[in-house]
Amino acid sequence: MKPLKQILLISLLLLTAACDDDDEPEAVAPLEAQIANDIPANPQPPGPPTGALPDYTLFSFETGAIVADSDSTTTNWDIGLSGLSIIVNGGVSGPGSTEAQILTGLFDEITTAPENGYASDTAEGTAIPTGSGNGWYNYNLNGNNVVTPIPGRVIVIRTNDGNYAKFEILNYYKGNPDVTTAEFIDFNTRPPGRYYTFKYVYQPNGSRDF
Amino acid sequence: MKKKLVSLLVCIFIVSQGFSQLSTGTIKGRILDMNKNPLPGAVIKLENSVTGTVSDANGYYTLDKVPTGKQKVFFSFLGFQEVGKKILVQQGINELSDVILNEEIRSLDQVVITATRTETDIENVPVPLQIISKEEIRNIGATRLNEVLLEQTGLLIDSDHGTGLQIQGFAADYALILIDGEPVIGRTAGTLDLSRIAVNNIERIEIVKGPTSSLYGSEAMAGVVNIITKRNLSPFSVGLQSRYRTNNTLDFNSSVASLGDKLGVEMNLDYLRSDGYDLTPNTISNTAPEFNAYTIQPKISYKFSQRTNLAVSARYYHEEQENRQEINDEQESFIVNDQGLRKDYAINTDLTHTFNARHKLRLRNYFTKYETESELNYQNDGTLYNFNFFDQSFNRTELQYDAAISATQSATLGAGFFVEEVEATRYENVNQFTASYAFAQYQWAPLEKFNIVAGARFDQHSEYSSQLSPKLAVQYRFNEKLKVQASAGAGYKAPDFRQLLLNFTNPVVGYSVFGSSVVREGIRRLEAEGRVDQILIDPDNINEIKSESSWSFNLGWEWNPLAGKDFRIKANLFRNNINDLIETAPVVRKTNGQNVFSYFNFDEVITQGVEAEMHYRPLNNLSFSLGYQYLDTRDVEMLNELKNGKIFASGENGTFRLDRSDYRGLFNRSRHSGNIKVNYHLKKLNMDFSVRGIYTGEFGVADTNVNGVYDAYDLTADDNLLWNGSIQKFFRNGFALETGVRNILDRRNQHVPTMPGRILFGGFSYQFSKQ
Repeated sequence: MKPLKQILLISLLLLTAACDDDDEPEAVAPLEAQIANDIPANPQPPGPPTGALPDYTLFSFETGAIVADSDSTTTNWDIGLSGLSIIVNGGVSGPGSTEAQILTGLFDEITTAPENGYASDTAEGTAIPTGSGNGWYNYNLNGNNVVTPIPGRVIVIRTNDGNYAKFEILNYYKGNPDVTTAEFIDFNTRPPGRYYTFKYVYQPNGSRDF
Repeated sequence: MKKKLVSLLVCIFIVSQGFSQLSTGTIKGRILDMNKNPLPGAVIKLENSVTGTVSDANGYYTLDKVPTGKQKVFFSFLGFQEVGKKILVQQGINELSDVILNEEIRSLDQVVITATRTETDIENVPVPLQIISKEEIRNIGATRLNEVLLEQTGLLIDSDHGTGLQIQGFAADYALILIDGEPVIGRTAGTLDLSRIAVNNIERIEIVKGPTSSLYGSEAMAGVVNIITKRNLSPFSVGLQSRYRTNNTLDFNSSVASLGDKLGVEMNLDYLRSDGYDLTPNTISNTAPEFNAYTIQPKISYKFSQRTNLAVSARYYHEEQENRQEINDEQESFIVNDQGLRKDYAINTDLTHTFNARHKLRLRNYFTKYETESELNYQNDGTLYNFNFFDQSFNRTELQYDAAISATQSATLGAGFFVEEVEATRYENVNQFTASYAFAQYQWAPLEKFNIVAGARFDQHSEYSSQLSPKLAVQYRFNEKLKVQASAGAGYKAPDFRQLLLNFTNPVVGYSVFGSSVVREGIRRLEAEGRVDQILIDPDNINEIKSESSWSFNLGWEWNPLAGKDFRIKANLFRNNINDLIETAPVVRKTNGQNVFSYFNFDEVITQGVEAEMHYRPLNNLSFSLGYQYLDTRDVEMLNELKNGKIFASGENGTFRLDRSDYRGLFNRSRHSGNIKVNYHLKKLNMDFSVRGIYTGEFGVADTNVNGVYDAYDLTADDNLLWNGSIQKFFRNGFALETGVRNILDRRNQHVPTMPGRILFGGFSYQFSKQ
């Protein structure tokens, strides 16, 4: 899985790079969905939780990679992940103008980003709300203290450059495990949490089409 | 109504008079009860004629236009034996001597109490009703109530926080459990654990399905289970019973009773212990813990006179449990010893006074208390890990007045108030609530074949909105073979203590839950501490929480097609629309990013289905029965979301959209359930044989794909057919032996923790009664 995705990612980057130099009408290259695997979101060392959170892992959809902490005051990153909270680069969270909204639907069926309805992070709350059942996940729904992404929640963001991206969080645990197995339910054999795996599409050309 | 009836009869007189040109006379007289009190409203009727009248306030009657010659006149009044008199009617006035009506003595099996709160002939109860006799309880070889109810059509046993009862697709929260008409309290997460109730001292169990809040108020939304304890009718009796089962389970029961002219004393003791069992050997904790339980039930009754009776009964239950648990505290896991204590006690004082056969007053006071304690200690050093307690008390005083208005009408009026008190680990302070209520019920049989029961109850409570619960039920008997009944009624369930009082913050994750009575205060406290990030719902705009309420409809019939044969088919269609179900919703976002939740009314749920039973007794000593329930449940909002394509699931190939056909209803509900029973009595050896099969269809266990609905891709528990059998041998001197097997095929299901594997049992009983 992984190498294939990396190849796809590289080829997409090459493709977009090639397009940039081209003034001719763009050939409509279908955008391939990418997978970001196991993005650490401030995982906790063993022991009692410290509760100290705001150590966000920054991510750029354009590069498909983690952005160094030292760039936190730049517009190089789009989203930041720490535990269950997700920030976008804008408002109270960063120097950029990134905004986001959560849609209900199938990832593949969301072929056009909405024109309106985006929000930025404010003192009253983040654009992508935290809390079980409020945004993208449910916690402890079956009494096992498991964080599970709600199926059919797709987050669309408008980046600092005015480009659009959509992403769907697939897993919150390391290694993208099946969270329904007995092995996973058993706390002793459960892989650590705060590792995001998500699927995304980034549209670099400024259009709302995915 | 009475006036109408009279005018109807008057009309009939006039009409019939037009046709009769014969000479007539007038009959005059008076009707009295056996204590020589006048009986107003009694019906006086001529045989084979529509001519009739009703007695006045002093019991006097005048029946005009009676054809002269030999006539038979009938005198009747509800609850009294009808009297027929042959008279020779002459022209002019015929004065009759006083007619005395005696109270009807009905056989105890025929009389039920729960559906109308008054002693009513079972044939006249117009709502779905199920009776479990003590013989059936004995055949089952049961020690606890859950084992008895499990085998009944349309009743399912829920295994969430104990053994709860599902009626017509309602969760265990919505069934009211009564002992001699008084509510049993003490629920955990909504479930009243039926295994707290010993069944040795039970005369019969009456189960009314459908909302009965019109008489009993809160919790009687799905139905009412009323346990009628044994009534001693002999001067002296002694009973002993002991039973031993797999898992080192021992039950011992003894009773002694004496009944004099005035004073009656009874005492019943029950002891049950078990090693428990484990369906998941790879886990630390036992599925069912080791326990010891005692039940003590004394009863004293005193007859001040023929008219006034006082009964004081009490119940004390004490249970100790021991188990081990594995605790997962985010990053580490360890083992704790778990010691649990459960107690409940109740004192019921019941004073009845019969003014005359027509007016009866009943004053009752009921006090009950339920206490639990749970202590968890680290296994390695014995230090305390956690201690939890829950104390609840309930005191109710109630007055009920029953009046027989006429031969065809009766009324019941009642009023009462209660005080509830609760103190628990997760609640602040000692919380006291008060409530008062009044109810009225009217029973009318305008025709011999047709009867109506109408009633309503109004409840007022200090913590939540008032509630009015009306109900109307009718029954029509087409002939000896077929009767049909229909009822519509409102039910409600008050918010529980958790929903009112909970004050809980998850120490690991940091979210909080406040009950609706403490949410304002809780938010203000958080604000003062500077821990409020954003207010999602202004606490000043939070409406007073409402009870969950329902409207329900039942349509049933009973058919007994073969004359002279004991062959009956019963069926009942039901539909329950439940509104304002209480769910949590976030009210405040805290500075730690977590939410504060409180309770609100929003969900709407429908349960509907059909229940059918067939009984056949081809021989005096052989009987068969079959039962089946089809159940359909749905969450209205979730179903709409699903229809609108807004519900998804994730699988190996990513996320996909669900459609209507993927919807499975509510979790923990079996679409199909049923039973088959065969009982045989071998006369020669005086032995009873009984085999019963109990089927429970598959049901949803967990929303593994967290989309909020039970769909085709969620975790389900397999269907299950449980076979139980028992043999009993009776001896002449009052001794009996029994042996049997529960769960003959040794079925186990980890999602049904209350069902152990195969259980063998054997025991004896002795019963002595001085006649």
